[in-house]
Order: sequence, then structure tokens, then C-alpha cells
Amino acid sequence: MRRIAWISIKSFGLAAIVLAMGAGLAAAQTPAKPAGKSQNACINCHQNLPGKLGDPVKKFKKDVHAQKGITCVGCHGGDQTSSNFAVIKSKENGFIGRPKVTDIPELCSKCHSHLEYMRKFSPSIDVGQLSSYKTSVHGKLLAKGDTKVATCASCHGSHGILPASNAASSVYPPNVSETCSKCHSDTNYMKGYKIPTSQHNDYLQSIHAELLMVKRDLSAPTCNDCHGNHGAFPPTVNSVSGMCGQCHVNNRNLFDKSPHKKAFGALRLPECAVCHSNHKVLRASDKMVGDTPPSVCVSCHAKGSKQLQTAANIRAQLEGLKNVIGQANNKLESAEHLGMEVSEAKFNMKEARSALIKVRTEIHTFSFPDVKKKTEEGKKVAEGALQAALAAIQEFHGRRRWVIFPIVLTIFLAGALYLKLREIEGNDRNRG
Amino acid sequence: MRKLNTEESSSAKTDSTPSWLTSRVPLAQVLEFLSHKTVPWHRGSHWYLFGGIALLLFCVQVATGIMLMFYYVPTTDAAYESVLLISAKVPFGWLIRSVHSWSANLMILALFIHMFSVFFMRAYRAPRELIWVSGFLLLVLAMTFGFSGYLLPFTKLSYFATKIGTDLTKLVPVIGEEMRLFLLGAETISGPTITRFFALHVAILPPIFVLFLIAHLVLIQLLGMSEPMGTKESRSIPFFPNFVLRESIVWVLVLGLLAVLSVYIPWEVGEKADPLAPAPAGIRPEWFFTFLSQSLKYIPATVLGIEGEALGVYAIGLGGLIFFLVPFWDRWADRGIRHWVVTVFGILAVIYLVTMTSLAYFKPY
Repeated sequence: MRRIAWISIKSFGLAAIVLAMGAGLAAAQTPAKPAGKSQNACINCHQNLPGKLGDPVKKFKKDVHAQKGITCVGCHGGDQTSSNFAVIKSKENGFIGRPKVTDIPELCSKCHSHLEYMRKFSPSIDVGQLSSYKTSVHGKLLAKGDTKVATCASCHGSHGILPASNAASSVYPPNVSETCSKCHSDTNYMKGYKIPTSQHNDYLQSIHAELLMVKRDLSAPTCNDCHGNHGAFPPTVNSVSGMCGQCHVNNRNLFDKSPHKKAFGALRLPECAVCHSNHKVLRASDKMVGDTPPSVCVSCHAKGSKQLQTAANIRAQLEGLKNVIGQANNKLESAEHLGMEVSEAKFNMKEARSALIKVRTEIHTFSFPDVKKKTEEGKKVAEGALQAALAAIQEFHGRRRWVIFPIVLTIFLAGALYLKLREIEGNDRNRG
Repeated sequence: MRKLNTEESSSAKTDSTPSWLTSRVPLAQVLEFLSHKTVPWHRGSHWYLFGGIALLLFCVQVATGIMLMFYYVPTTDAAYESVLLISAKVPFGWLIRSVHSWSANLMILALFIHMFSVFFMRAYRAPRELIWVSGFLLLVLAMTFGFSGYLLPFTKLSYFATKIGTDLTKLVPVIGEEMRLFLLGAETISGPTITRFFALHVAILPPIFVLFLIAHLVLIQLLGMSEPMGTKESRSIPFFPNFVLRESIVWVLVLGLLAVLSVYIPWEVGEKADPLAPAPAGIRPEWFFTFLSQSLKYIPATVLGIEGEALGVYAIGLGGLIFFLVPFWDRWADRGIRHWVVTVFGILAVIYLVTMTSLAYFKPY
């Protein structure tokens, strides 16, 4: 799912790309056509102009549209081949100048919603951005005349649009949260919308941001992976697990079967976010489960309740497995340092560690018997490896004990030979 | 009466055994030769015992090597696993493998000590030049044994160390690249390389080594052991039993040491080689090649327009050649002169080898 979402952001990159500049409202009743070798009167003039009038020319050189042969008239209309200023900017030639904010989505969609045109650039390209946008909060507010909301150019830019796969693009995954935060973290700008502005700060502290922005793991989520991109919307309380479940499939499936699903739905609590938070999703810890703080269970369940007892039991199972794995690892390391061959047991430990991950996933059932069953599987493997390590260490010490025999034999033989030598040489001296 | 008959019968059996044997094998001449053979004995004679130690360790190598061959499989898929099997499952396999590895390293150490003792005592002087030559070549062969054997377990370290080692053969003028390809049997270390290194280790080097060993021992028999320069009144001891007993004491002690080392510091197997993985940190050849690898680290990429690595290898090779040819340029020794040039050359060689080897282990970068 997330992949699909990302494909659409990528395609929009290309899109907005080919789009934003795409088709002039007036001039481009049909998709823009790449310019021929004729002159570009717009650039000839604007490249010599200072500030806002000259900057677009500089930025446009790197723009993906420019690379695909789309020129200024593709979006702004007019006739770039003329040398007559009146003809260039004439309404008859479809000149629209700077498009209005409310017109931008339609302007871009002239190309980007046109499948036959767009698939020349990529056979599987998405052309549904406009229809998605219309369902988004941004799109709905725009339709009501709110021009503060994001349109295509707000996220993709206008004259320097890069494909989403380009690391310098504003919609390249690690840059997305920064792009969204330009509006969503601005308290003045967001005044009146009655939504928090701390999302970006919270997100930056999350494990998702660490993976995406520090470790550059592009599979880690950013804003659009949960909220959508063109169809951006706030998830409803009972759709949260669907969101997280795009990646955390097993956790979602187990949660959906758990008693919490129904209870959270009744209480209108946002599922996964209740324990893990929404934007500030910290690295999950085993301490989150149990009957004492910092367990998240205690924030809802009463002290001494049956549910907290279950949480405590689950935590005990988890710690028990971790303890056996830790012991096995330590002993295997010791055996290895002693030069003993324990590679088979070490290999088996991968299964034990995998079992620990499964147990942590199984916690989302909130069922002690289920967690215990998975824990026992892991313990069995880890204890097997522990026994192998202990046996190897025991064998090592056994070997050391046995080495006393060659030592004694060596001393005895060397001593006997030395005495014999002395006897012979003593006899020789007596004779000589 | 009954007792007397038993004694007679026993006596007859004892008498008949040597007569049967001596009528078929000329043992009497051999024993006669040995009973009259003497060897010089002086303050430096103990150093000669290292030659005997190396010989003993070579015999241990052969014996344990044959045992390892029962289980070792020379393919990229099975080499590492077969070594694991030997170390973990085969009864006493760990001990055999550990003894094989320890004896190999101790043998090279003994050979180095033996060579330098001969060098400093000028025992290579005429007419014993060929004893020196055959001995030096035995050391080179032993190091080649080590190089070829290092790859066989196909561990990560041995893979990359062998890669670096075989890449150095490219520096040999004209035929370097062909030599490398011949050694590897392919463009990179792969199945054919293990097969070739295994063949080299167990089929090609052993007979060559034995031939040189026989030549070395026969020449020592024919020419006798060298006596220190300037000895006026030489003392000698009977080869049998006096010298043999001395050597036997040392052999017993070395075997004891080998057993203790093999048990207390067993040779680890390490991680399996992964040709697609990046080279791990701390790649190092076997200790007796570290002087070479460490020296190359200090040489700039280019020196006077010549590739630094090539220059280093040629310089070290030239030094080794001068060392190898010492019996032919140290004419002072033939005249009984212990010249300082030779002594300083030897001391510098020892300092260089010890320093570079130590740096490779304690300060490699």
C-alpha cells in the first residue's frame, strides 16, 4: 500500500513536473507539446531580468519539464516564437500569465490526468492525482475558495520541479516532512484550522524519522505514507491500524483479533497510536508492557486488575526468553573465545532471536497463552544452544585436564633420556 | 630342566631374529657406521638442534596432514564445512587440526632460527655452500606450504589474505599476470583455486620438499657438521647414542610443547569466506609473511615514477637474494675471518624481520 502511495508521489513528481508547467489554461486545452527548435522569446527576455522575473529562467534549466522539452508556454500560454511582445502575450494565443492558486490543480491536470500523453514518459504512470486531490482536505478547502491550502506547486515547486526520486526534490522521501512542515509547523499560518503544529517536531523524534533521515532507509514512512499525498487526509480513529498495518502487517492482524480492537472502537481511541503515539512513534521497548510504569498498560488499566496481571505475565515471559538468549549468547561467546567449535549452535540462535521478534509481535494479541506458546518455542531453541555452549566449555576444560598426561609423559621421558645421557657420558669420561 | 629349555628356546629366538634380518638388510654396516660416526660439539652446537626440531615437525605435519585428508573436501562449497566437521564432530579432529596448524608454524619458526644460527656461525662457508642453498630453499618451500595451506579452510581472513598474496605475483616482470592466473585457475579465487592450492599443498610440494631434505641431510653426512671458525682443538661426541639422545630429549620436549599449545590454544576456524562481501578489517597473512605486507604499507604509491608496491617487493626480493647468496660473496669466512659487514647484514635482517612482524600485530596502521 505504502509503495503504491509512494509511486503516486513519484509520479506526481514527474507529473507536476510535466504538469505544473503542463498546460496553459487557455493555450493548453490539449496537453503541451514539446517545443521545436524555434526561439524561446520568454527566456530571451526574462533571462536578463532581475529578481522574481529572472529567477524562473535559472530554476527552469534543471526542471524535469524542461528536460522533457516542455517550455514556458506549456503552462503560461502565449507564443514564444514571435518577436512581437503583443503577440507573445496575447490572449488570442492563450497567454494566462501567472496562474491563479485556485486554477493550479486543473492547470497541471491538463497533462497529468491525460493517460495517453503521460504514459509516453512512464507506461505505468499514475494519472489520478487531480481526483485524489479533490477528495483531500486541501482540495475540499480550495474548492471552497481557501487559497491558503496546498496545491501542486506548494509541494512540488513551480520552476525547479524535480522528480521525486531526485534527492534534491522537495518530495524525495527524507525531504517530505520538511516540505509539509513549511505550512503545518507555522502557527500563524495554521491559525484558524484548529489542528496542532507540533507534528514535524514530534516526527523528528520518532523511530520512523531516524530510519528515514539518519539511516536513509527509504522504506521508512514519512507524512504521505500515513496521510496520503495528493489525497491527504487525517485518519479516523478506527482506520489507524489500517495505516500502520501497511508495513506492520502481523501486528495489525493480531491487534484486529484482540479485545482492544473492539474496546478502542467503542471508546473512539486511535488504535495503535494509543500506545505508540502518532507522529512521535518512539522505538518500541519491552518496558511498554507490564503492570508498572513506564508500561503503557497502566495508563488505562487499574492497579491490581486482571488485565494488568496479564500484562505482567506477558512481560515475565518476554524477559524469560531474553534471559535465556542472553545466557546462550554469553556462553557461546565464551566457548568461541576458548577456540571451541560452536558455529552450529550460533546458527540456531538466529532462530531464537527470530522467536523473540515473533513474541514481541504476539504481544499485540494481548493473550497470555498465545504469547507463552511463542515464548516456549524460542526458549527451546535458545536452551538447546545454551546446552551446546556449556557442553563445549566443559569439553574444553576436560581437554585441559587430560593434557596433564602428555606433560607428565614429556617430563618423564625427557628426564629418563637425560639420565641415560649422563650415565653414558659419565662412563665415557671414566674410560677416557 | 624345564626352565633350562625355556631359556634356550628364548635365546635361540633372539639370535635367530637378527640373523634373519641381517642376512637380508645390511644393518651391520649401518650400525658400524653409526657407532663410529662423531659430530663436533661446541658452545654453538645447541643451535643445530633446531634443524632436527624442524625435521620432527615436518614428520608431524605429514602424519596429521594425511589424517586431515580423510575428511577435508577441497571445494568452495564444502571446504569450510569439512573443516568445521573435523573441528566439531570427528573424534579428536580438533586436536589433529590444531597439531597440524601449530606444528606448521613452529616448523617455520625453527627453520628461521636454524637459518640465522647457521648464518651467524658462518657454517655456510666452503665446502658447505650447497647445504646452505638446500636449507634456504627448504625454508622457501615451507613458507609456500604455509601460503597454500592458509587458503584451504576457506575462511574470510584466508580468502582475502590469499587474494592480496596472489595479486603480488602480478609484480613479477613479464610473466606476472600469467603466474597469477596459473595459481588461481580463474580470474578470482574460486573453485579451481582451492583445487590447485590443495594439489600444491599435498601432492606437489611434499615430494619436492623431501628431495631437498634428502639432499640437505646427505650433504651434511658427506661433509660433516661445520665447526666454529678458529677452533684449534675440536671436541666431538659419538653420533650414536650421545647426539641422538640429546636430539631425542629436545624432540620429546617439543612434542610436549606441541600438545600443550594445541590443547590450550586450539586453532580457531573463523568465519566462512564470502567473495561478495567487502574485505574485513585486519586482514593479515600468516605471521611469516607479515614482514612483507607490513613493509608495503610504508611505501608511497609511487617512488620516482615507479609503482611503490613493486619497488618494495623488488627491494625485499633483492635483500633476500643477497642473503641467499651469502656463501658466495662472504669470501672472508673462507679465510677464517668473521667480517663485520656480514654480521651487521645479519643483525639488520633480524631487526627488520622482528620489527615489521611485531608492527603487523601491535600497530598495523
